Amino acid sequence: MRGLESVLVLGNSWHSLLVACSLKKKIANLKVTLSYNELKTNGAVSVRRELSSLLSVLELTQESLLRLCDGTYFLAHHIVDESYGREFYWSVDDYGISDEVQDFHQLFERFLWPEARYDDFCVTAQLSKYGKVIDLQRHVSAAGAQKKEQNYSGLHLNIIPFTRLLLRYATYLGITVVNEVTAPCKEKNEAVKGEALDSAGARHTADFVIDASYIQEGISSEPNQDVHDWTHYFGNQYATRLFVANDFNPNPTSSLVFSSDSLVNAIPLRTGVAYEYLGNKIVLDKFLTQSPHSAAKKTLRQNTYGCLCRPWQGRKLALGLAAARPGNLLVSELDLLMQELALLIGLWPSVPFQPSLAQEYNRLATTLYCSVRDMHLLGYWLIQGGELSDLQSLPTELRKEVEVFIASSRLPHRDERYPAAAEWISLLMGLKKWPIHFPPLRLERADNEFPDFFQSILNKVREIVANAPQQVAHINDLLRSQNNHAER
Amino acid sequence: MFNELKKIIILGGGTAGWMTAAACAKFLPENYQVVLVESEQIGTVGVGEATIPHIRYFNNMLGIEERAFLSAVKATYKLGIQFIDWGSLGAAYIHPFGSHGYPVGSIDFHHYWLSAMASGVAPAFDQFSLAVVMAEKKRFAFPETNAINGKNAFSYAYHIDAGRYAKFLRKYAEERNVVRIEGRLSHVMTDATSGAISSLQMDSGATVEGDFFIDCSGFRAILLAEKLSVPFDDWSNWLLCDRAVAVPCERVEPPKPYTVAHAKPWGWQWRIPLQHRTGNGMVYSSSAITDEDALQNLLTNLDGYPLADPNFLKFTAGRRKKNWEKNCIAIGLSSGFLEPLESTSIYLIQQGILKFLEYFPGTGDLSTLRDAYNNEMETEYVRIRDFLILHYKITKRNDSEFWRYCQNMALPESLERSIELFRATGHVERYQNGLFMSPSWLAVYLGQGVGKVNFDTRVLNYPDAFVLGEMQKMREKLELQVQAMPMTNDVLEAELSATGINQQPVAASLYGVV
Repeated sequence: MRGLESVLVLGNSWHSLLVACSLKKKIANLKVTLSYNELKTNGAVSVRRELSSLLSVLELTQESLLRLCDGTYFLAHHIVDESYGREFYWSVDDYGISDEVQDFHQLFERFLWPEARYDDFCVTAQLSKYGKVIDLQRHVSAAGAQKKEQNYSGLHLNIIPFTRLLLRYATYLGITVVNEVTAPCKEKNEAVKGEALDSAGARHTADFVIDASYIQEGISSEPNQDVHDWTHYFGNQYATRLFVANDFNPNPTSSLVFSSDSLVNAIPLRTGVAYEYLGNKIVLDKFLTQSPHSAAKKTLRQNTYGCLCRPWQGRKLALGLAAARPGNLLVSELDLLMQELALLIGLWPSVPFQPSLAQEYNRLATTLYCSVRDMHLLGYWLIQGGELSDLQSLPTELRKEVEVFIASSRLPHRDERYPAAAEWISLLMGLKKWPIHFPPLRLERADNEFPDFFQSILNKVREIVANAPQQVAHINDLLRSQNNHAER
Repeated sequence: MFNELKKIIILGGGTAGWMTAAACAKFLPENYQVVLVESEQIGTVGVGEATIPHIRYFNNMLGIEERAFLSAVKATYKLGIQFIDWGSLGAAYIHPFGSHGYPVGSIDFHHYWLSAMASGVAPAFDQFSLAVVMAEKKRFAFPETNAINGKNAFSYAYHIDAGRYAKFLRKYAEERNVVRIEGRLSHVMTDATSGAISSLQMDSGATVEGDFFIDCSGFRAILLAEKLSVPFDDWSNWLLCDRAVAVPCERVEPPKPYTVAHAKPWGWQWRIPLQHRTGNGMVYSSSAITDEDALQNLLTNLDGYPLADPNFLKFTAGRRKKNWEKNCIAIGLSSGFLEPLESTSIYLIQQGILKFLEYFPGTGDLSTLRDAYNNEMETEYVRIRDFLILHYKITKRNDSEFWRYCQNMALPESLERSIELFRATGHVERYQNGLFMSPSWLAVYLGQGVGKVNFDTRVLNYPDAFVLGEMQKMREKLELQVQAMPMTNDVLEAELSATGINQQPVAASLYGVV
């Protein structure tokens, strides 16, 4: 048994660059070869839950990354449901304060539903609503607890500078960047290294090959692989992306606007807004025809969803879009990729390869993909009315979870849940229209003490929001105060 | 469909019954009526003299102060379980309530240890656990919440007199309006339409009606099995022991802060030190030894003079295929039985209660909640089952037919996969639900010896001298930390004589608060 000496990473976008950089950063003596031929994509990518991991890989501060990648802060999604006239700020942060006996959402349901807004009780949701950002150094949560060493916001990044940054960083780390591989890795046997030919005819060998390609066509295009096809859950979706340059958008909120026949995800950057449109073909064709932005026509594609049944086979592993498309609106591709990388590094292989290791990775990865898929399907289902009669269209596990939540106000345990259960609950609470049952347990406080309890939370949230700077001013200050030296 | 529940009937008043009654008394609103039916003529099994740290979480929920508890149930502190003669005759290790070592360069410590083991230079794995070193030196201190110095990397539980614990909780529950009905059960009445339980008919002629019933009737499972016919999932092909005999004896030395599980050719013997006596028992397979011989062997191995007549138990390892059926939940032995090798009996009671409260049924169709409850309890049982089987499977013992069978038995697929993964890669199968996580699996895998185990080869990037130096530093640090701690018995006596409140931080975890 010996350690893995070399890895060949295949790809054409920030995905493969990030994979290569992460591996090289975590495993210093690993020879990483990156087969890369940049696919010119623009737009935005967001990172929220895994920002700390990303910053650790890049050895950057949040402010530096924001500055280098034309970024903005990302505090919450503003989910707008035009069909039902609802809107909600969805944050990964805490909503309210739990009683010793019941969680906050249960107290909310018990005492405040349906009059109050759930997102009034979340600091980052409220900051987002008012276009403000948090003082990252001295944030005090609504609970009054100091939360240090955490990132209270994510970032929206412009893909083009982000890709350039990663490419520079890859070179700095000593990653060998070669022409795009044209002949995929050929399996010989476990004793022989994997081989690949690049477009110039050069031969590259490595112990292990990671396919982190940006694949536009969707998961079902992967050859020689069994796939879990989830497209039917999402409906017949087409998508197009568009970047509209304009002035700095002051709102640190990406918005997800749903209407009866389309969905628009808008991510604000310093130099413009990146849009992603999803809908049926007729709607999008009409949109593209009428759109003054002709470039959008080029990117119209049919969205397919699913994941590889076995992303790790032998000496080859698929990551990112090459492995799964469980949706990217509520959990970004970047967050998911960082999760996959953490999983891989936690199960780092040796030579000869152990099938049980790949089996364990595949078990955990597909569970992760299913969880992310279900989070998206939950969002779609809620935004499309959240009719209980439509529950049957959801995957069984998700359907049962929703039923249990409505009947008991808690989510059943999953072995791998991503994002965390609190985020699922806040999405359910923010967009629900039906009452949920809650265990009628005796609380630590008397019922008549709760108005003051809730008011104290609201006051705390309002105080923090009132004292927070506007994002525009904050970023401008940041840019002015930082010197212009290249980070590296 | 059910109307809102207002009256909860608990059948059986042992540890499970009174834990359930106490929790209901604490958390159900005053307009709920909780009634416990028991008969003093029927003895209780008194499960779980040895506990795990989760009992502190349960007590804390109820607002029970630790010093009052220690005194009432004659408790001693517990840092883990010592397993003697399990991996091979003459070998011993401790499964602690804590982790081993700490990661170096983001690689888990045990991979370095496995590498050193492959080179033949590794000290015993459990020597890298603070809880183990404390236990071996009979020292004790409360875990710290500060993660900086590593003194938070363990937790503790108690050895308790389970009979006293039940009495303690009975007082607690009755003070909070739980109604106790003394009497023997005659019949269980069901609703002709729904098949749900409607009332209990007592020998006295009285009828006890209720909306929801909790079966704490022990092995018989009078409500869930006898009345509602929920079948039993028999796991005795993996867990062969089907008998136990218990005899308390005089205490002859200050209590050690760990339980002892000493493997025998037919099963194993427990030793549980309390303040006022030592609990002893032999768990065995009736096909491997007779009751008389098991008792004789137990009596021969007692520390002190026996204090009571032997108490024999018969059981079958396994669980009810559903823990919740119609309007009845089984908690405790009525829901299933797993031998007390890892002190899980009270934990399973606790989980049954907490999940019942979390899913406390309101009005309407209960099937959704029932399914979720049953699924979660099944996961708890199955994962504990696999962990217990592991102790029997990975052994070099072949000195009896019992152990030869265990060595060669076919395993549940889930456990087979876990062991294969560990042997091939040194990784422990990951899951988020269940009691025993990676530190426990490692303690048993490496404490008993699972044969050749591969490891994360990234550790080879570090020179041997560096790795061994780090290990040495870890051990020296542990030694110094433990040396500065008081003796366990001194802490216990100080606590028992102290006034005021000593409420330690708690968590629903085996391995510490932080």
